[in-house]
Amino acid sequence: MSSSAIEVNNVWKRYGLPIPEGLRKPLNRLSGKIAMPDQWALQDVSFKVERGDALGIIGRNGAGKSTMLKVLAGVTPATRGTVRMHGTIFPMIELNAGINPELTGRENIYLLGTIMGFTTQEISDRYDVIADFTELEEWLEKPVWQYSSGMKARLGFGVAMNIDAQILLIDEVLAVGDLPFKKKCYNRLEALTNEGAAVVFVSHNIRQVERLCDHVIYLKKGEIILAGDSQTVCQEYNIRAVREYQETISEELSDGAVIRSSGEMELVRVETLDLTGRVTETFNPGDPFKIRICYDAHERIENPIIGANIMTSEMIKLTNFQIVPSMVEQPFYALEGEGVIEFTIPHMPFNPDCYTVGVTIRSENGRRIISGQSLATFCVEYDPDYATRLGLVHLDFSWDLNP
Amino acid sequence: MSSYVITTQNITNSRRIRRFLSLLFTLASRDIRSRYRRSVLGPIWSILQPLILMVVFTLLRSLTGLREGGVTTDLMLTYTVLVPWQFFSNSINRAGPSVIGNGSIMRKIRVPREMFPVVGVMTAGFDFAMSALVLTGMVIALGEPVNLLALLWLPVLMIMLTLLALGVGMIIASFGVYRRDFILASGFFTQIWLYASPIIYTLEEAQGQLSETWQTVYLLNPTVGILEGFRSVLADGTAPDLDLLATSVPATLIFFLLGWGIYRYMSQYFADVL
Repeated sequence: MSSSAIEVNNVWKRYGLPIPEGLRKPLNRLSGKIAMPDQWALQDVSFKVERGDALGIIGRNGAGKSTMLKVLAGVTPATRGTVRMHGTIFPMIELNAGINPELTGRENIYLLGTIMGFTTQEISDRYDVIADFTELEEWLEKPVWQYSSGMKARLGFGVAMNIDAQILLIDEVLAVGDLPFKKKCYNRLEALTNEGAAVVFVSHNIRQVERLCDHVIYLKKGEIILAGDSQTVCQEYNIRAVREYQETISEELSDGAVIRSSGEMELVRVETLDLTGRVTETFNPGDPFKIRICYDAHERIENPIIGANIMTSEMIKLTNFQIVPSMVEQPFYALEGEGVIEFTIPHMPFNPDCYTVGVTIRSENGRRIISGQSLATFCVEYDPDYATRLGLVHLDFSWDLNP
Repeated sequence: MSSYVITTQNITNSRRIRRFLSLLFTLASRDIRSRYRRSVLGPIWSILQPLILMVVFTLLRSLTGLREGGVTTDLMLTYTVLVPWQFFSNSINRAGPSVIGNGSIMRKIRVPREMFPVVGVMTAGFDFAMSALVLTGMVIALGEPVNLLALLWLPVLMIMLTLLALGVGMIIASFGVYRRDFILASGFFTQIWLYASPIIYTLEEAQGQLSETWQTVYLLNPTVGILEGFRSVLADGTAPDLDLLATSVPATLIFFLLGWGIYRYMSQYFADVL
């Protein structure tokens, strides 16, 4: 077949009932705050998705990603423009839409299946496959209000993943579930695209998009500002987003500082420095850097365990450094009064993004004296020389090529 | 202008209809099952409500001096209209909030949107069917001899009542999505409608109290003709007064077409505000 699975031509979208310009103002006045935004959520968006292709849509919050997905799913009409979908659509947007807590897992499988457009008979035919996929076993006969959220997610996925759709619309849903189950879902998705399904994938998680998609469009304020193969667009996004995001997120992250203390000591300041001793919050990949903790101990703290950790903005703990009594050469050391602890890392191993530093100090027997998260933030700049670096961290490596 | 087209292979119209019906019945069964799942009496509740109201209204009738024959006559007079009335008001009160209640589905998945108010009416229909069993027993035990030919009017009366309820429910549902006041008011609104319909009293008794102008106004209420029709067939064993029933037809059709039209148009944009 020659036609693309999805064709979107010059789509504009404004939310709310379409009200003629002349009526808009008087109606707004009459009804007070009624939601009739004049802003375009999508502006002149056009793209195509071929069979077997995965398209990623990226952009910041409010860029129009979810709106685009809703228009594709056909739950809300475009204000202008045309959308053509060739094939049965399977919208994986919030899989739990429609789950009823009073009903059992089995009843909910039928419910979700019919909502997704299947007949009772068609669901009966594949019930066993679905039940198997969910791995819920005897839980399927229990009411869903007794389920954990992970179990509910399995229910949704079980139905979703076993429906033969030609077009899949996916909105961040892969964020739930445990690891083996997630892997199973990824495998199933891959199998579906190999069979010729077209996928549209919306996510904030740029790494996930890069991994799953062939092509990517980058939306900003409802407009496509960049479209192309996934690596090019994601890189460009990284350059822009990291820069933009560094400004806002480093503020947000440092605002999020939380300290819990027994009162024996205070953390005066936590900062990051380059090797010359200059305090800075931006580094290039590969740069050496230091973490400095300035403290004020009100009491003498003997042989403490001193730890620092680094987390991503998504709160994934990347690493931690710890000084434990056995590592210290003199048999006895103590924190007292004002002082400084420094950790030196010879090569910045992290890829472009913003990171936070946390500190934990414990007594010799493990009692927490003070701990805090997001005490300092630093960002790693995007550097074109390191453009081939993907993932969270970069390891030094050597290589061999045997002809 | 905008357009949205889906082309799918292998989906015949009959398959589409089967899918639609599957969804309709699954949603209705979801609502019915989940309503009674953690209750002791379960579906008996749907029988109890009109039975209790029957007793209350019969007491009211004797207190206000409206007495026609014996207690059994009064019981029959109220119960034969209470059962269809309960169906009518339950339909409205379930169709009204149905869109908001199913918001999570509508926001995410393309389904025929008319489904939700229709499911509201269907679940009210389930309660009606339960009460209809009791009603049948009562008509046989206490009522006038049943006129089999008159019984043929029952489907006509039910269709009219259903269309009217669906129309009103769809109007409330459509506006209720934008302004919750419509839904909050709907319980109160059906309560008032109950007093404006010949349920506690009969049409004859009402006409005795009203001036000629007010009688005309009173007859504008489409439930008057329909409910009196039920009363004629079930309590009196006669065919409905056709002139009276005819007065209900225009209003019923207007409500239905208006409700359906408003809903069809406005429902396109429900996902934007849910």
